[in-house]
Amino acid sequence: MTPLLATVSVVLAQIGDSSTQWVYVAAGYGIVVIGIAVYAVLVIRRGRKLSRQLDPEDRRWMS
Amino acid sequence: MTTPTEPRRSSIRPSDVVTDATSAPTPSAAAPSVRATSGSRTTRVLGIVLVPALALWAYLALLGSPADVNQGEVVRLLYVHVPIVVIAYAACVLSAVASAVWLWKRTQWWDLVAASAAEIATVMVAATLVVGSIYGKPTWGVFWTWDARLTATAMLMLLLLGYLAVRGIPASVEVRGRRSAIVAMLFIPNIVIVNQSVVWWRSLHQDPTLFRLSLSPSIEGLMLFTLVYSFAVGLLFFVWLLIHRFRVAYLQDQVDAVGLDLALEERREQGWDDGWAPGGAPS
Amino acid sequence: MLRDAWLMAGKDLRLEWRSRVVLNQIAPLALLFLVLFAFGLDPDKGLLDKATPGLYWVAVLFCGLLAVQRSFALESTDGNRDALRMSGLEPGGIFLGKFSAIAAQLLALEALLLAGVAILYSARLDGFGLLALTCVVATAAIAAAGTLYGVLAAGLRVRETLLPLLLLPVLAPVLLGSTRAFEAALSGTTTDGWPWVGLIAIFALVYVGAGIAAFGSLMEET
Repeated sequence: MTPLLATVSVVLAQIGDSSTQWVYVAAGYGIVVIGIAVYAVLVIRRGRKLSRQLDPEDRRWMS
Repeated sequence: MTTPTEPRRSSIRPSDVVTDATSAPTPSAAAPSVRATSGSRTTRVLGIVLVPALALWAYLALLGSPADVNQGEVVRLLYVHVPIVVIAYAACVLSAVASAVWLWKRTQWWDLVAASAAEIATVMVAATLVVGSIYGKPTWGVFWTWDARLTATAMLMLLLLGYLAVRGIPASVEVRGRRSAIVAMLFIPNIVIVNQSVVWWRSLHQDPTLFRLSLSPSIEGLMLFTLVYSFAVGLLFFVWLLIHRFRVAYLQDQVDAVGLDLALEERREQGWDDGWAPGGAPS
Repeated sequence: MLRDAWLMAGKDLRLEWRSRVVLNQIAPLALLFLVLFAFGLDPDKGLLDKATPGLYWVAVLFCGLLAVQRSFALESTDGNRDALRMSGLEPGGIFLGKFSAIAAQLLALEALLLAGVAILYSARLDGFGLLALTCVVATAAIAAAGTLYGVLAAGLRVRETLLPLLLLPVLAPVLLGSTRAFEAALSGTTTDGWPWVGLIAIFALVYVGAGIAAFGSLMEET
C-alpha cells in the first residue's frame, strides 16, 4: 500500500503543491474511512447472521 | 471441577432444544420487537444521530475548515487522525480495565466488553498507523520514523494481535476469559514501559531536522472547533460500534452454547440407539 | 513459597542436568546465531562491531524463547500439569521455581555468548560491572515474562507459534534497554547505561509480581 502511494505521490508531485496535498488527504481519508466502514459492516452482518441462528428470546442481553 | 462453568447449558433440557428448534423458523409472537440484528434501540438512536453528524464532520474537515499556514491542505488529516488515536487508546484502556474487573467479578459482561474493545482497538490502531504514515510523509518527509509515539503504537498493535490470537483459541468461556484477561491486564504497564523506553532511546540520537514542529502553535477558530467536533463524533461512533460488537460477541457465545447443547443431544440419542445408557460410563 | 520455589527449581535443573537439552542443543544454537549474524553482516566492513550489542541480545532473546518452551515442554507430557496442580505446591512458588531455573540456564547461555562475542567479534568487554548487572536484570525480565506467557501457552496445540507472538513484543523494551546498556558499557561511557538497567529492573519486577499473582489461575485450566 505505501509503495504504491509513494509512487502516486511522486508522480503527482510535479503537478502542483495544493493538488499533491489533496492526494495525501484523499488517501488518508479514503483508506481509513473505507477500512473502518468495512469493519463496521462486517460486524453488523455477522450480528445478523448469528442472530438468525438463535431463538428470539436468546438474542437479547438481559432482557 | 464438579460445578458447571455455565449453569445456562445444564438448565436446557433436550425437550426445550427440540421445541426451540422447531419453532425457530416462525417468528415468535412473544417478542415481535426482537429483530435478528446486533442493534438495539440505543444503537438505532445513535445511528440516526451519527448520519448527519458524520456528514457535518466530513464537510467541516474536508471543505469547511481553512487550510493551515504551514501545512496547507494536509492539516485536514488531523481531523481524522486525532479522533482515531483517541478511540484506539480509549478502547485499549477500556479493554484492560474491563479485564481487571472481570478477574474480580467474573461476569460474562466484562469479558465481552474487554474482547469487543480490544478488537475495535486493533482496527483503530491499524488505522492510526496508516493515517499517521500518510500524514508523516508530507509533514516529516518520511512515512515512518522511529519516533517514540510511533514505535510505541506499533508495539501496541503487536500486543493487541497477540491478545486476539489468545482470544481466538477455542476454550471454555471461563478459561478463555481468564487467559485473555491476564494478557489484557498487562497492556497498560506494557504501554507505559514501552513508551518510556522508546522515549529514552530516541533522546539518545534524535534527528532534529526530521521534526519540524508539525502543528502551528496557535490552532484556533474553525480549525479548533473542527478538531474538537471530530473528537466528539469519533467517541460517539466508538460507542455505537462497541455496542454492536458487544452484541455480536454475545450472540457468538449464545450460538456456541446452543450448538454445544444440540451436539450433546445428538450424541445422547446416538448413544441410546447403540444401547448405551445416557449417563453411562464412557469407554 | 520459597521452599516450593526451591524444590521446583531444583527439579527443573536436575532434569536439565540429566537430559542436557539446553547444553547440547540450545547452547550450540546460540553460537550458531553468532556465526550466522557474522555471515549476514560483513565483519570486514565494521558493521559487526557496531551491531554487536544488538546481535548479542537478539541471540539471547531467541535462546530465552527456546529455554521457556523447553521448560514447559517438560510439564506438558504424561499429565504433568495435573500432577503439578495436585502436588500442593503454592502456585507462586511454582512460578518462582520455574522462573529461577530458566534464569539460571539463561545466565549460563549469556556467559557463553559473551565469550563467543569476545572471541568471534573481538569485542572488548569493558565496563564489566555494567555488563554483568545488565545481564542479571535482563535475564530476570526475560525469564519472568517467559514463565508467565509460557504457562499460558503451555497446554495449547498452537503453543510453538503463540508463545513468540505473545512474548517477543512484550520483551521489546528489554531488548532496547539491554542493548543500550551494553553499548554504553562497550563504548566506555557506563553512566549512560545505568538508567536502562533501572528500566529493565522495573520491567522485571512488574512481571515477577504479575507472575506470582496470575500463575495459579493460569495453571488451573486444561
